[in-house]
Amino acid sequence: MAIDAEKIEQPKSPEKVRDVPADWKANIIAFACHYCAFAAADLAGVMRLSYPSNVKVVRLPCTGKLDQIYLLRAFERGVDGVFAAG
Amino acid sequence: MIIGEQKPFEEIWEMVKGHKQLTVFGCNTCVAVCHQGGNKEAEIMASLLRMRATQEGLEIDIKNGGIERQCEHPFFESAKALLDQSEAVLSLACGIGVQFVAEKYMNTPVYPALNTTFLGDVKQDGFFTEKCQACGDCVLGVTGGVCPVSRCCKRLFNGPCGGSSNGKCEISKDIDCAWQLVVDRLQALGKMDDYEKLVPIKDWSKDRAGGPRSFKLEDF
Amino acid sequence: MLLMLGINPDRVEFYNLSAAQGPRWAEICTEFTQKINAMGPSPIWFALQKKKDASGIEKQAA
Repeated sequence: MAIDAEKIEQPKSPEKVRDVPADWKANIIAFACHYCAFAAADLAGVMRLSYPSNVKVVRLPCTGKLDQIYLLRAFERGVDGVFAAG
Repeated sequence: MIIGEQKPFEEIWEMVKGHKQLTVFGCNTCVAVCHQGGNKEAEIMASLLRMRATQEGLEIDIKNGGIERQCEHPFFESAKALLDQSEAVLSLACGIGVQFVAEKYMNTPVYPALNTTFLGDVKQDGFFTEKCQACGDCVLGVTGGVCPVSRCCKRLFNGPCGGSSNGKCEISKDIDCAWQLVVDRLQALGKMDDYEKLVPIKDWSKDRAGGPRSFKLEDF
Repeated sequence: MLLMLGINPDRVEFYNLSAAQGPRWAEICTEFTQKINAMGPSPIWFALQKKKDASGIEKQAA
């Protein structure tokens, strides 16, 4: 039974819980494909939809251009989250 | 080609964490094909090590580079400046490359980032299997092109042992019985007569038993 | 790979959307920002911050 209970347990985040400084703002990088996600972001702008300013968009010719090293470099510089859209 | 597997990250970190400067050096031939030690993997490894160093609060200047092959002098020319300035090198090459760098740079510590595992083929993308043991005395001509030295768990030369069942080895159900493969091949070739021929005792002095081997072309 | 460094792999996400999905883009951005906000700064950020603080103190001392 003990084994079952372990199985059900959600995978825990490896990060330690720490106090978040008051002046912290999430820094997020979005890798967007020029032809779909970037166009969608453009459209969102044209439609005057508001979305959080934490997201910085990096335009790629195609999400196929995305490489592991891009994600790692982002994290290396202390970015808090990365997503790719395409 | 030579297959290698990256060592656990912790092991690599323990080896290199004491240095102030480190060059992560890729080898873009065999170990790049198995996505373990190419120049791209060197770049990723360098990034991971930099992040680890940042987290540990250590100031290590980690650069990355790489060449086509770490087992031949001419390829090193493009990386001369980089390696000359390096305090330590983490080589992502096979054991040959690591030793080659170590021999070339007498005063630079060189660490292996890979465990060199075997000589094999690319069976599918991302799946590699052992095919040769470099025994120095090839018998593929009489075994239908299936190597009993590297593919039979017991290195048998005259037919299968009693542990062969349904074409699989008794060591593991995932391993094909090499002698089943030999027989299948010989049957397909109509050369079952070869199967009956007794293979004399193999000359293992051409294997590692005779010490480190070398080969020299007289006209060079 | 990130897990190895003590970074939560949930910090990376992949989405699929077409050029006509402007609203979906805004939605994704909001959703992901909320998620990251809930997770807090990345461990690397903390480490870099600490380094910055340390160099700041050194400067003051000098």
